[in-house]
Amino acid sequence: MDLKPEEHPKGSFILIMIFFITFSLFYLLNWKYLSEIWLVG
Amino acid sequence: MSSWNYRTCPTTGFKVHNKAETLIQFNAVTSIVFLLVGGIVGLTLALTRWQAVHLLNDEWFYRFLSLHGIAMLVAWIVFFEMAVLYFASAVILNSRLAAPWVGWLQYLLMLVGGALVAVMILTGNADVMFTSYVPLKAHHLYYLGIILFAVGAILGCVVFFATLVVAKHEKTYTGSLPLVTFGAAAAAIIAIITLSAGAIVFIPTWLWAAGIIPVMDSEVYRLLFWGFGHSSQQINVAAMVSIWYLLATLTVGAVPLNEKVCRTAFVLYILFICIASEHHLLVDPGFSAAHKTWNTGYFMHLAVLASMIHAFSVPAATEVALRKQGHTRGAFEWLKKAPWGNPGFSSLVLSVVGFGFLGGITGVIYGTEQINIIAHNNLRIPGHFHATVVAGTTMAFMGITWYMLPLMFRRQVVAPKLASLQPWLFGGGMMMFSTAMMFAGGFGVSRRSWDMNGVDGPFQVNFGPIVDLSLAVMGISGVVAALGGAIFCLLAVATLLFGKKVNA
Repeated sequence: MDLKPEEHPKGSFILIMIFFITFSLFYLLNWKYLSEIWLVG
Repeated sequence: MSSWNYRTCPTTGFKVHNKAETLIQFNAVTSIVFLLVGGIVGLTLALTRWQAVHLLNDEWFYRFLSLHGIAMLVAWIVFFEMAVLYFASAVILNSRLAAPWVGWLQYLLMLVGGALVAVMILTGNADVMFTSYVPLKAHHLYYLGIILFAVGAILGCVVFFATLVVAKHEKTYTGSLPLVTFGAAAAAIIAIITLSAGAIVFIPTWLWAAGIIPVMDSEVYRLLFWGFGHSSQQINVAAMVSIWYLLATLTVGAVPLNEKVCRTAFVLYILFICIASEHHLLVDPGFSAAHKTWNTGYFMHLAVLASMIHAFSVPAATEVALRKQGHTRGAFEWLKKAPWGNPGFSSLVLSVVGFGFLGGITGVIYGTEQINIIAHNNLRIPGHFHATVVAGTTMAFMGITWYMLPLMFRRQVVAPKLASLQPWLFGGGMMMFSTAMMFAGGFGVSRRSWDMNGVDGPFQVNFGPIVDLSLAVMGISGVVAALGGAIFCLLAVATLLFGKKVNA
């Protein structure tokens, strides 16, 4: 699809980046939570 | 092909085969009846898990939990999916429905099977919950009901594929299958895999319950059951994403930026999504740790990749469509100027957010082999799947219903202002409900438990006030969501009975 510059989906890209960062933070948070209750060594 | 079998929709221009239309109507109405039953029962369950209310006694709690699972996870959704399959084949392709009598057989088998299961549960003959884990044993008619339902659904998929063949043969469309139909085809393929697993597990279990087979292996049962139990939710995912594209087109005229990529994502679902079912077995002894890690840490992410593609493609298509209408200022003017008062559009957005942010993120994380050990069997899990199946799939199905009513039932929706409020009540309530549930689960509150403190058990567990607060929020938001669900059912029925006729 040919798009004019003002038609590019910039907003969706930002929303997806927010989604991706949320995903990463929640993933790390859960690993941290796991490491605190399941001590190794 | 005689012309009296068709009418042309004045809004969409679709040529609608009358036999397909009748089947769509019956399946859609029946699905809403099951939604109503499951919703009422679900409300009583939320008010029981809210410890300050604790509405039901233990016997009825587990009975209603069984009914809630079957009515919502299976009956409401699969009946609606049958309507979607017939719509995505016969209506979208302007074709006649292949073998409508098989469609009626599908409907009757699913209706009899669903009713049989509900009666067995309500009469106390199947207090085995949705999973019916062996060696819990229900009355053999309960398993027969599930088998009949599954066979009926397989027949629906057969009619769908046969209609694709008919449409191709009779040249009712040109070029490739439309994306919505392609997505529905992906859902139907996953459905056949899923329902076959259901038949493989439930036929011997039925014979075992009837006393013909002496023993069922509980580990094998769990393995095969989840081939049915979780994969059935993957049918929902594919069907829901198809409806996202349809809603984006119907509400703002969106066109996917790159159809090939979207189609590839659906193929990824077909190839990889069913193996995600194995995360239910992560604490079982059967598989090795390496197998579980490969499955949930690597292969499953190929299906997650598909969801990521759709998660960008749907909002991007919507954004481009709105920008083409002139809403080009800054990064988010299109979002501000979007048709938020249209229940189809708000349902689409709430469904994408509920499914993606809440359900998707938590699903991938809780399904990871290592992390699963701190989430397994606590309230985090139902919190996750209420986000995917209810805030995601159900919300999307409700959204498309506002278009199905004028298109397939030829009635204008009554009380449109109330209809535009409905997604916010239902979607907002369910998102809060799921979040509160996951929060309580983070503190170790068990799922499927009437007595979470172990009052009558050998030892007691005391949770802090934060858990009481979470469960209260869960209960209150459950009431809000139930109100949204009740408005949906009320408006759907009122539209069918009193809605102004749309001329075709």
